[in-house]
Amino acid sequence: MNRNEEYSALLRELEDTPPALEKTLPRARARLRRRRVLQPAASLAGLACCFVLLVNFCAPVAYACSRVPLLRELAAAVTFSPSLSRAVDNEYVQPLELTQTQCGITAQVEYLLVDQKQVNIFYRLDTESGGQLREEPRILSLDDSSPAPCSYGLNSWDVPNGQLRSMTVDFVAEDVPDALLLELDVWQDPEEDAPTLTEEGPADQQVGEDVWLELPPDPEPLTTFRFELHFDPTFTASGRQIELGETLTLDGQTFTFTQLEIYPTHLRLDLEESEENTAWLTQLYFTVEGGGQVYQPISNGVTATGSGETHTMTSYRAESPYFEKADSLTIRITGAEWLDKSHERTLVDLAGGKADFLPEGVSFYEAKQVGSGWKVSFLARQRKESYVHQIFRTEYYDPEGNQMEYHSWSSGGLPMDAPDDSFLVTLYLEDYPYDQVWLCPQYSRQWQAPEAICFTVDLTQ
Amino acid sequence: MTQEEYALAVEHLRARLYRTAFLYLGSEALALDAVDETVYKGLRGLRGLRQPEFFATWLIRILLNECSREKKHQRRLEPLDTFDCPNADDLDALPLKEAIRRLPPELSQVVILRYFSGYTLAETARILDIPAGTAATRQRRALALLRLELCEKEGDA
Repeated sequence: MNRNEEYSALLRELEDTPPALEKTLPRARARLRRRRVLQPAASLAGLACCFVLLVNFCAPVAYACSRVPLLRELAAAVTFSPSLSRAVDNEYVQPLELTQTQCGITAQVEYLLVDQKQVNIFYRLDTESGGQLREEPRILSLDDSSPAPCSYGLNSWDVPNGQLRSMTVDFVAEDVPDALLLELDVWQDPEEDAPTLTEEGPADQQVGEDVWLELPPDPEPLTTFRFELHFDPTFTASGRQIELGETLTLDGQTFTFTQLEIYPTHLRLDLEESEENTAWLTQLYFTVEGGGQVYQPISNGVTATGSGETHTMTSYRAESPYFEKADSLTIRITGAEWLDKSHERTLVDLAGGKADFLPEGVSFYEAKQVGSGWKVSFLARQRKESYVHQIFRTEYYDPEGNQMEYHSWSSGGLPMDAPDDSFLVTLYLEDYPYDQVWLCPQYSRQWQAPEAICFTVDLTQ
Repeated sequence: MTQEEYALAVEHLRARLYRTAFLYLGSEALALDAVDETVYKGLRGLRGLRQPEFFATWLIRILLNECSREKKHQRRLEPLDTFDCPNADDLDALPLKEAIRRLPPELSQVVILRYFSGYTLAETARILDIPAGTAATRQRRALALLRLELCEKEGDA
């Protein structure tokens, strides 16, 4: 039997359904009735159960008995980062016991992984009333509650209530201060876990041809927690900087690698560009090797930073060798991504459907006038299977030179005849009456070194 | 939608729900459990349904969530290599029913909804909340892996 005959046979087999299927609705109705009766009793049983669990597994009690189970949970929460995993393995953890309860929600900050440049905060949110809790953090200076000079973000979403959540706070120029104020706005989503449809219909119908995607404003948070985080100075002093002074030519562009910064949570490779260069360095492909280990560039969170004066990224992040014993490290550069200075902007003829220059691997797909603006799409080649990347910076210019910014781009809706390894990127230029636009490419091209370019850093100095 | 309307709609859909769950989970008992759970959750969440015209999409999404949950549970119980991403040669040796189960979930969902549950490509895309182009690509990949040559008409039947 070939596959198509097998398919026909399977379809015939599936025409018969088990008799028990006919009773599915009566079973559901009976279950719903039972649930209504049992709910109060279950709540009492739950309370008793919680009491037993609290007595046996409450964090301070368990911590007093043994640190191992807690660190095991922390270890599970940092698997997204090899550097943080090594830090936890080495018990490089500042435990905290900060707990607050408001509006029936308990927030508990339990651990910090902090060094000279980064703070990782581990906390829980829980409630007895059910419904998934979600949060939005703010990091403020403790002195005057002004925004701290850092960037921050959650490391995960949809963490079940009661489980360990985490966020990373990153300082670029300044060091981590002695203390910070963490504010957490908390919302509680409805308990029902069945998907619900909005008035507008399923998500893919909400972004139609003739409407702009407008997200409804978030409701007011249910409550806001405020935690003062005081850092152990032993941790905030952790890190070392090694001067490099290594000048290299990559694909005809000259850079001086100035410093290697090694912190427990990550590594930074800093460089300066030559003014003579004809291209800005928007991405450096490299690894760090030493002590028999290979440290890969960071792929989650902040991967590189720039000064903002040019488009060159001047500081690159990698996993940290802080806890390993190595006398030297080898920086192995394998490639780069460039933005040619001559292609900082590119003119796209929306009405005529063409562009005068596009980044390598990108082709114009279509531009459609939608309401008072334009929806413009490009086809691009994936660099890694199922991964999309940004093609254009968010700023763009009209023919008169006025700068604007698009607020949304999407990928998806790959045309049937497009290669499987491509993706479609669509930009939405709102309230844009012109039929030409200057877009700003994120990059021009990638370069792969014919042979890795290496230099060695002595760690014994 | 009233409970009576819900009962009628479920009666109309239950065979399709069962077929979907059976192919997804590979067992009559598990498929029945998934349909039971879906119908129960649908009944509980009926008030959340604001557009009855999307009822079928809504209910099938609940079912797919249930099936995914059960699959995760199975995955914890079975050795990991059972779920390694297969290639067409690996699948050739398996009966079609088993081969579909061995596909990556994003492919098996499309092929089940399209060719066994009777949804069109557009409906499949809406159920899975993906663009139609993505659904088409996944359909193409799934059919190639299964070495099935089905025309659009069969899928839409």
